[in-house]
Amino acid sequence: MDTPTTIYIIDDDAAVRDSLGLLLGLQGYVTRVFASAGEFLDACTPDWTGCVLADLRMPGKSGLELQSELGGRGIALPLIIITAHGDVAAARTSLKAGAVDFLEKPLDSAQLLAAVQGALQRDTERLQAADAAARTERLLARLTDREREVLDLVIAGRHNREIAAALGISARTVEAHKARIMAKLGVERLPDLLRLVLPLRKVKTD
Amino acid sequence: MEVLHGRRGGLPLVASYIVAYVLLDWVSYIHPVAPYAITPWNPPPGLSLALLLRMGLRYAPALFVASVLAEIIVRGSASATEILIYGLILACGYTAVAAALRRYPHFDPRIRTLRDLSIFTATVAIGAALIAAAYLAAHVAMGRFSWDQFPAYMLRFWVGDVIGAIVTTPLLLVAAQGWKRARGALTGETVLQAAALVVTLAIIFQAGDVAAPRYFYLLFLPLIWVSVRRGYEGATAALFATQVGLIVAVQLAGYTASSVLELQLLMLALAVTGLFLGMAVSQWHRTRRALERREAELQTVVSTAPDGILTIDDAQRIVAANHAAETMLAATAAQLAGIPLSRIVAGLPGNPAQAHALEARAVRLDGSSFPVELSIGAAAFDGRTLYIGIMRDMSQRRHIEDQLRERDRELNRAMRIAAAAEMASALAHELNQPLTAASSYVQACELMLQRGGEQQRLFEAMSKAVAEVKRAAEVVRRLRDFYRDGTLRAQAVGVDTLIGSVLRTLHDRLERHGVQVTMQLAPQLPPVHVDVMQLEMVLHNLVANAIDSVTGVGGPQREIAIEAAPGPARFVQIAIQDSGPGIDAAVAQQLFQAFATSKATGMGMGLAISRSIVEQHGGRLWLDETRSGARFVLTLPIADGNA
Repeated sequence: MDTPTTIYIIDDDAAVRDSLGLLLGLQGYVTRVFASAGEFLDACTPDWTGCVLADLRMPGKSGLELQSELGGRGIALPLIIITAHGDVAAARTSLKAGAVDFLEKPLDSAQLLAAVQGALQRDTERLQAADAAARTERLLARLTDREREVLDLVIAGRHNREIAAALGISARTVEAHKARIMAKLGVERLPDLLRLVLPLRKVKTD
Repeated sequence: MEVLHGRRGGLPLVASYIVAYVLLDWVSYIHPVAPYAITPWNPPPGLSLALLLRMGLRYAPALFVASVLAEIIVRGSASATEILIYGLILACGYTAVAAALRRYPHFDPRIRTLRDLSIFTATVAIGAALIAAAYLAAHVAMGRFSWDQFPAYMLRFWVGDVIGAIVTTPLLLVAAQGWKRARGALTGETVLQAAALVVTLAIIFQAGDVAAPRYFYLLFLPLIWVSVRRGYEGATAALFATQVGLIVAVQLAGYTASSVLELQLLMLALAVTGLFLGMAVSQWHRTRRALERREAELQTVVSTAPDGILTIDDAQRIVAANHAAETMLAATAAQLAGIPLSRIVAGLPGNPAQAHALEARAVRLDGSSFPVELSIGAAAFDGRTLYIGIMRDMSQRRHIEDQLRERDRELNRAMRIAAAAEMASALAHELNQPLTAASSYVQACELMLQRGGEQQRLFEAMSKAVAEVKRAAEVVRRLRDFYRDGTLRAQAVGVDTLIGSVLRTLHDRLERHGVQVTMQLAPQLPPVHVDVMQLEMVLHNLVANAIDSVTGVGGPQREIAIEAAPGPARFVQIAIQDSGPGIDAAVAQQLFQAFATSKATGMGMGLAISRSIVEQHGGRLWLDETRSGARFVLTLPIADGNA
């Protein structure tokens, strides 16, 4: 799996965009610049990885509006807000809404790099979590219908005898199904099974 | 007597009057110069006067009817012509007396004062003499008796009519007013007084025909008693009773006509004395009641007054203090009594009688003090002077004024801070953009230098950094220009509109400080060509300065005059003049330099910026030092196409 390295820079000031692009590019990051939040949102797709570096105060959509729109579209790119005003209220709002960091202009390069690294780390973790979920999903696809029924009841916390009664099969058969399920999913103990499957179930039921 | 009670008039009254007249005439027809109606006691004229005084002169014809009827019924010996002539003389005579009384200036027909009583007595005495003369002359003319008898008859007639009127009329007039003061008349004292009267009469008539007048003076005792105790009303009743008692006694004892005349003369003296004494007592009572009422009112005013009221004697010492003064000075009136006024009020002028709304400090006995507004009035009394000092505690008002001033200051400060914050925010954004870019370029350059090579990119980045720094410098320059000449958006605008909108924004402040603004705009003033916002700022600044100037000194006059007139060439000249203390010459020297200010609140930049704005428009702003108070004058260009 690749580590994301793309930084999307959004600022209405061309010189700021250009200079930040140059600086971060020299640090080895891939940079893409946008003159406004609207321009970025038009181009953005859910499979983008990396992080967003956006000015708080811009003509058109502000940094805060961008943040809420990204959330609405299910785009989980980490966001770093830049402001010229040291606006405490805006900083608090953006951080509560999930912004990774909050930087004041003029930018200190060490702080900027630390913030960018933090944001990219966040995105890496996000992608890893998504990868793990996809892998489990692939394993679950290999279960038979009956095995999936048994698994649902196991996750619901039922005992073997209850599962047997519910499905009209013997407890011994239930035991056999459970053994096959664990083998297919590559786990050896019941707690490991639950740890693997439960996060997915939660997502599904949401 | 009942007939005169109230003011019912008309035929029943006339009929009652006539019956009463005839009856009285009949009853009093004693010791006559028979067969003429000349008796030593003749009350019917008293009845007639009471009727005319109380009900008006339109009842005069009733007098004629009554006297004619009485003549016929009581005596009935004369011819019809004679009866008519005598009736006419009596009716006309007493109508004339009543008319004279009613016409007398300020005479109250109810006889309420000593003056009324004096006028009544004198008029009746003179009138009765004239009537007697006419009546007797008519008799002589008719050949009834000779001129020899004239003086004796005259005296008898006069005494009878005067005593009749003086005893009867006041009684009837009092009765007509409803015996207001005679309620509870039958007290034990009244009985004693009546008994005294009877006993005195008995003593007098015990003495016999000849000696009786010698004891008459005894009657003065019960009468004075009654007059003093019961006033005029009591006197009228007692006199009537005495008269009736006298006549009854005389009749019972069978006194001679000459004795009766002598007694009636004494009775006249008694009546006049009793009535005047009684009236004096009544009037004194009335005056005392009025005084008590005034006293009560005054007392209430003094004790309710929220201002402290001090009574001060001519030695400038406090005599009395009201409740408010006690509260203010935290001392009782007893503690304050005898203390010199100068001990209580500091800073009094030499002659305290002339103080009016004087600002001073009141000092309590414990030494603490508070601001007061003091007024002192003087009253001459018994050759001495009495002062009344009224003091108003001003500490509350001062406190409120201070608070308002403080709030004004805070508002000013807050506004300036808000404006500064807004400016700082805009400035921060404007400056931070190029600074961010520049610092990023420079940091990129650092990286490139560390790595080596890349000469071309390094050079590019450095020149970009330099460009951004120049951009930052440009922002700073623009900011400076903004204050100097940057954004002049001139347009044609009326001077009245400009001044009007400035006064509107300052309306509350003007009102609160009680500042009067007078405007004097020359007619048909052409519009000026200015940046409205900037000029409003300038005028606002000048008027606000004027307000501070006139309110700072606390003088009585707080006036600002704004004048506008065509100035030199194509300019309009506006002057803002205040009634304040003016500007110190030393301060005036550097008035238009930035940060020069005479105010604690300090808008130091105000005048400097104002002048630069006005000059930017091609006009001028200066301080006119030839006038008292501060007078700032500015000129503004007239808009094109207007001259």
